[in-house]
Amino acid sequence: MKVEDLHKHFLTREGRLEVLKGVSFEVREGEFVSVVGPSGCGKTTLLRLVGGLDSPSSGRITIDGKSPDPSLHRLGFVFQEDSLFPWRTVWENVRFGREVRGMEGEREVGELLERMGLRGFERCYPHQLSGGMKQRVAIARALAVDPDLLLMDEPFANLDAQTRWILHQDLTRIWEEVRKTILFVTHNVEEAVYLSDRVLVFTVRPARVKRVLRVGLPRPRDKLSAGLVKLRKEVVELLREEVPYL
Amino acid sequence: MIRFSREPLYASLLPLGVLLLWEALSRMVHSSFFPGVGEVLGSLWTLLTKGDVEGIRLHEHALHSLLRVLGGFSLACLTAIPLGILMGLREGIYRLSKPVLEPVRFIPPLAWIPLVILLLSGYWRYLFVIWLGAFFPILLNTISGIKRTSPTLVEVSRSFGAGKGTTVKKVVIPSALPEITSGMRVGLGVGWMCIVAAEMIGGERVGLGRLILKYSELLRVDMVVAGMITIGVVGLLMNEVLLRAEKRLFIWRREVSL
Ligand SMILES: Nc1ncnc2c1ncn2[C@@H]1O[C@H](COP(=O)(O)OP(=O)(O)OP(=O)(O)O)[C@@H](O)[C@H]1O
Ligand SMILES: [Mg+2]
Repeated sequence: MKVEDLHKHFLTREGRLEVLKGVSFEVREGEFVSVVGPSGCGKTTLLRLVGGLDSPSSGRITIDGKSPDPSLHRLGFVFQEDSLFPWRTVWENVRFGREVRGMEGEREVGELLERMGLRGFERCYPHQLSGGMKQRVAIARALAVDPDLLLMDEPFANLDAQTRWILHQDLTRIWEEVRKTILFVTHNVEEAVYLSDRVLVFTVRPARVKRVLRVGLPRPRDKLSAGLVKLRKEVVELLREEVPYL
Repeated sequence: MIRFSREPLYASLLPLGVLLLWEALSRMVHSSFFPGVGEVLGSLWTLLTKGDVEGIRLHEHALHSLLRVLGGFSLACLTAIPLGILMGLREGIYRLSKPVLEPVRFIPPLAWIPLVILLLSGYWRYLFVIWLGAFFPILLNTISGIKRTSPTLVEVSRSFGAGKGTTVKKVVIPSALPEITSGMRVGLGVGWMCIVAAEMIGGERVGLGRLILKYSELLRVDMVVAGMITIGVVGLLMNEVLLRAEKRLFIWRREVSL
């Protein structure tokens, strides 16, 4: 996946709101890339553009050489806010994308639920689940279509530290098993360096890529290892340049 | 330890009080236009066992009324739901039709009656009046249910490459279904309340509305009240049954509206 000189602005009542101003980067197949940036800098906007849910003002995004199109590419989108269908059980939620794409096979759904630690919850409705469980279901639903690209928008933002920590480990394990290309948005620096191969640090709005950091540490990683802590510090320093009071 | 719930006891206290008050008032007024509880119960019994002046029994009246209301209600569902979905999806259609629909909504079914007498005949008269009562609650609830669909859920569907039609079928309609259903319940109730108006102009001699009109001409207030009570009880039962069905159907919702 490749993003070249991407610009995006919105026309609002107050006038033209410049959100992305010349964003360029690349994500290789099977790579886990995080985007960190100040709140409101345009991270969600970027993901929506990459996912083909909105179109850029100028610049180019290509996935396998073609512009993003959800009916062409197999994408898995995990949203920042609650996004499960409340009228569908866990099982039916996870099947959703497969139904839309006309993919047969219940076995894959079962395996995925097992892998995501959702066994025994198949027949629960979203309102019966904890926040962490809901995010697991949302991730399982995205993975269920066997996506070429997984787009995750702060999937763990609303979880407590402990649940978040468990999900980090699970996500790492699953990513190692399936090796999906992941573009992961967060404003949690610890999360970004722990999970990713590379971290893109964004500037404040209008956003550009400020710096790209390669993590380059073998997995499984230790959040408190000297290497990760050093990287965390580096990212925080970069963000402080953007938002001084951080 | 077994605990006996006192709730049924409390719940029956108020109706009991109302009955007592009614009986007391009727004894004080002492007029044939203010029948007591016993008299009305007696009339109900007579209607059930022997029938009215023409020998038509209460359950026949109720059944005919019910069938008419169900007819008009079905027609209302068939028209209001598709239209509501369309209007909920297309802001333009909604805005265009609003200046027509909104004033019409406030014309009571009774006001339509002269027109209906002139323009329609037979069963169509019942259908139209009841349709009129049931149509708007269903339409408005359908529109608001459709419009209230979470944009995030629509995006989930789009992100999987679903087209507009698939998204409507798999996301918009299921998410609006509870509101559509409660619109149907309210619509059925309003349609039922239009039964007297409808039977004022439908020709036949059978029906709960007809029963009331018949006895009001004869100044038999006890029979009129018996008919009113039957309308109230049947309406209540329908509402309860549907409310229960809704709770069961939409178990995924935390709350179910009244
Ligand atoms: N459809 C839209 N119309 C107008 N403005 C928009 C629209 N979508 C986003 N914006 C604006 O663009 C800016 C960036 O929004 P975006 O949601 O991408 O930020 P973000 O980096 O994801 O923030 P957060 O970290 O809080 O999730 C915000 O100022 C927002 O108000
Ligand atoms: Mg965001």
